[in-house]
Amino acid sequence: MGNTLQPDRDRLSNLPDDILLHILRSLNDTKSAVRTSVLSTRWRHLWTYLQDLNFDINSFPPGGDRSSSFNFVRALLGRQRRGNCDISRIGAFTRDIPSFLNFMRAVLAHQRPGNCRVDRLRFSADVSIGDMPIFTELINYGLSHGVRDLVIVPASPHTGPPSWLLPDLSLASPTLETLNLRKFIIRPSSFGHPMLALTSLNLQNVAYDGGGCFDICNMIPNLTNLCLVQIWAMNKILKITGHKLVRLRLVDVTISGALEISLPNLEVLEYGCYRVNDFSVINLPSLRHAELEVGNAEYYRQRLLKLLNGISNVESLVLNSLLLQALNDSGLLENLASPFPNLKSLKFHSP
Amino acid sequence: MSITTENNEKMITLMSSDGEEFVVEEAVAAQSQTIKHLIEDGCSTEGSIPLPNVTGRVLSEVIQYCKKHSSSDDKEEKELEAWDAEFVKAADDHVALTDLMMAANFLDIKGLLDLVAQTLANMITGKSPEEVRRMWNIKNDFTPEEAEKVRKENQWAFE
Repeated sequence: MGNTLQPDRDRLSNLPDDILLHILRSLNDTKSAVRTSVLSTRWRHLWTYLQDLNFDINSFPPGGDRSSSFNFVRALLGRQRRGNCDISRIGAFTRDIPSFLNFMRAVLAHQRPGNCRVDRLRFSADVSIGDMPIFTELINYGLSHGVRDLVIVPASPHTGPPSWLLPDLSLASPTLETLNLRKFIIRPSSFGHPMLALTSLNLQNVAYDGGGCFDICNMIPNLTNLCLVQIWAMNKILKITGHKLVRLRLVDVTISGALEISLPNLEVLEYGCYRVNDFSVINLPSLRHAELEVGNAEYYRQRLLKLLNGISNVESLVLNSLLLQALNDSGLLENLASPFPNLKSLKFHSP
Repeated sequence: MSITTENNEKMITLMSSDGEEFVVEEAVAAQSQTIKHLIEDGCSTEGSIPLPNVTGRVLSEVIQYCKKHSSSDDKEEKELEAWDAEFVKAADDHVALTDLMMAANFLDIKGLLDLVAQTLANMITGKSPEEVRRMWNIKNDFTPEEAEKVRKENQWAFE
């Protein structure tokens, strides 16, 4: 290397396969990687060895014959809008969804060389698209190729209730390590067998549709990192009792039953729920850092008391100003059994 | 080599393929997993560590990167990012970037490898195949029939 006497040499194509694949992997999405196949014979099949597949709707802007809907939106936007008309969902018109889905199906249908695994599989869209079969295809493809990191976020965080039923993922239990899902409905059958390799789970806008108790760590015993945002489990108990869990984030968890949290090794808790949950058990002996953000603190005084008692071991604590005010006004602190004997740092943030 | 500085920092000598010697702190050189393992295996006790795949010109850039990254901690992440951006800009001719990529790969320096890969990827993103070929002197060696076939085969990626 370093032979600068031949400036006209094609140095890029001369790089070894694994380095070129590293570059292809660094491209924003799989579409850009597939497009390199037309460069020369050297590049023709290179992308098929990619172990990261990233399907991103943003790489499919409207163009050519398909732009009529785009023109329509432009014309619409050109008009005066009344008040604070919400245009956050207009993205649906400005993406070429059919091409996106065609592209994805073509990649999935493409024979992979040898036993080439798919390490990471990502599907992301900021608009609600797709139908159940496409997600089932995608998930099954990942599972049968030994996927380690699976991300399926087919909608923006705020587009309607969960709508797709999650198929059984436990086929992938030997390989799947991180899982990130949005807008799915989970049933007990979604985790038919314990998922032993899974250590990081991120669910957003997800509903649980099963028996009376949603017991996550029973299905996924080795979780170290759990993030639940916008979780719906009506008339259920939510139980989080993993021995390995170190970080937990709970935001907008809507359950009418109780929340049971018993995590001997949890170090970091982030809790942000407007309505404070009813904790039946809260046991966090190793907790070091907690961030709380609650809405109507005064109304949920008793529940808040339970929560604060449950986190009394923390060394650093971050509270929102509403909670701070409630603590001040209501004398909640005086009612705490042992108000934060280990506390070294206390911070507040305004909404 | 076991020269030590006034800070009691252990120094080692790296020798490039063209015989240039670089004396650096062990902590800096150990950013490279390859060198770290060589040191652990006792390969640095006698003379210097030879790096037959890396020229002096490239090695001096690699060392610059390693120095910066061994002296900064996590708190300076933003500053480090800006420094990285300037660093690859300075190396922003194609020859330097591919050489740097090969060196980062051989020396096993993950941060540098990712940084240069991302830089090269950004240079490809959003360009037509013709533009990419021109930029890198890539010879289109498909026969017209093959070219047509490949186009058809992957038409779905160009929609």
